[in-house]
Amino acid sequence: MPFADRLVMLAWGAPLALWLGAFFLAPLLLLVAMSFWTMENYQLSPTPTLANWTDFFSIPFYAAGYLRTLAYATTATAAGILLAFPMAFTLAFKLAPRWRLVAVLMLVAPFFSSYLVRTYAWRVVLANNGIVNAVLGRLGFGHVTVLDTPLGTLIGYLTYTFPILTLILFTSLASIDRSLIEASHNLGGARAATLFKVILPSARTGLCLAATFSFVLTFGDFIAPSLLGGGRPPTMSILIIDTVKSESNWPGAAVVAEVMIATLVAVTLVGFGLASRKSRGQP
Amino acid sequence: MTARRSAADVLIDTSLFAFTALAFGFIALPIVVLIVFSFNVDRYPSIPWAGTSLKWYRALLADPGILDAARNTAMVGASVAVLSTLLGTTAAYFSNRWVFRGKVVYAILTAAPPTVPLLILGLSLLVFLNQINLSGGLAGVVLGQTVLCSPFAMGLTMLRLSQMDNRLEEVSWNLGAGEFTTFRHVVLPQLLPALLVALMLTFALSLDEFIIAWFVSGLEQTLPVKIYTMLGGSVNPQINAIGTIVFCTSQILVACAATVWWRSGKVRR
Repeated sequence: MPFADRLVMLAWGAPLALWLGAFFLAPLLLLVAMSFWTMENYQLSPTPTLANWTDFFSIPFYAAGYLRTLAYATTATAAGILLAFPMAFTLAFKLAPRWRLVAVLMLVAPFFSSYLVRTYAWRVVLANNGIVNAVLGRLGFGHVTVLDTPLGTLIGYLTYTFPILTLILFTSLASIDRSLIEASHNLGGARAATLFKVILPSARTGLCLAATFSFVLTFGDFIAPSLLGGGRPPTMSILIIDTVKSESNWPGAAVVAEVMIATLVAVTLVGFGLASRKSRGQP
Repeated sequence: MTARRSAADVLIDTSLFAFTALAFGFIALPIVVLIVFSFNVDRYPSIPWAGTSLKWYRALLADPGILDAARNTAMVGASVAVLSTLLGTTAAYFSNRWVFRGKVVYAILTAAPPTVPLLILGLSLLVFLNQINLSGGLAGVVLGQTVLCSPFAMGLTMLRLSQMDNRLEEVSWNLGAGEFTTFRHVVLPQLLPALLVALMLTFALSLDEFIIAWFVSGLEQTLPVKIYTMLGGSVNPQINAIGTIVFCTSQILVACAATVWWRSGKVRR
């Protein structure tokens, strides 16, 4: 390619690459470097040390926080898939096509609304003097405490992930060849057999992608566990905030952040790997 | 096919529809509650309805902190929208037109930001800005949110470019038009709707983004950060009012974007 053409090509491609290099990659790399730095009298100094890493892996508090976050994200992912699948199934196979568009728009809308504000609205619903308890009191029932419990966190996570999961699963189910399903029916396959032998295998890519997205979003989320879960005991995201805001321990926070990134990269690779693997018997 | 519909079929369909209705209720509930209780006269939600009032909206207008935050949000949103759309469009045109070594790396880099937890984007950017002795402030928020939003702008433009006929450009070059003229008169007119959509959607994303802004903004708050500082303590219907305004603004932007996208799609066919 002539030199002038090369310049033209660079002029188009370079701006975003430079921007992301400067304000996305460089900060992330600095965070990695900083996890090996030392804090001296609340001052950050680039004296190399492994102490931040050994702290993380030797203090049970951190290990417990890690396992708790894994458990929360896994639970939220399992619950999200189990709840989103029947809904996506209904949209894909049962709903009239003209309503399908309305349904999809209703699922896209939350993505462009503030998750923080929606989470706050759940507090209005679930608080001790909130709507649920006002209704229960009116009806003469007792009091329920959901706020500041793991159930509160789960509700927050699902507020975040449920519309996205449903959209992914819907897209996946809608692209299944209908004639396969009809063939299964016509050959006398029972409903369960059609579901497990035809529909679920065809939707495997969508299921794996949805599970990966759900895990990534919930594992890194800070808003649900702190505003609806009460923040105690902490998840990884809350550990980062605590380590920075109360202790100003930047290297410690950097270690927590990197463990999170490593986990998410591993999960994403496995998830995308499973999603793109061809199943036996398929062309 | 209806001949074989048994009672079990009807039961299954009914439960599926009932479940779907409940699920939509779960999605809509926080938004409905937010809007309805922003007009409640009482501080705490009471059953039955105590009375309708605009007093929480009036309280917002009387709060200089809110007005400042709104102004900051508008400035940040506009800057992020323009920068993300510029960066996203140029990158999309680049990826769409040329085959080059490292194309996969480029694709991964430009798709990566939305997959990193916002908390880590915010933390790393704050650390980085401190280290190069730039205090964050609103400029820092713009830097970070543009990282987050450019991939969306790029995706939208890529989608539109992939539907365009590349031969039009070649014809223009063959007729002697240069790079600039061809882009200006052949590509840009077809791309305009996508750019408009990208501007509106990235503005909407920036308007709602809280975590990066919270980390980097320092003393200059955007609306979501202001809302977060108001959250401490008890139920405060002023948050419902400001949340309602933010929600409606985003949805109007998204509705406009969707209309532009559809219209432009129809005209072309």
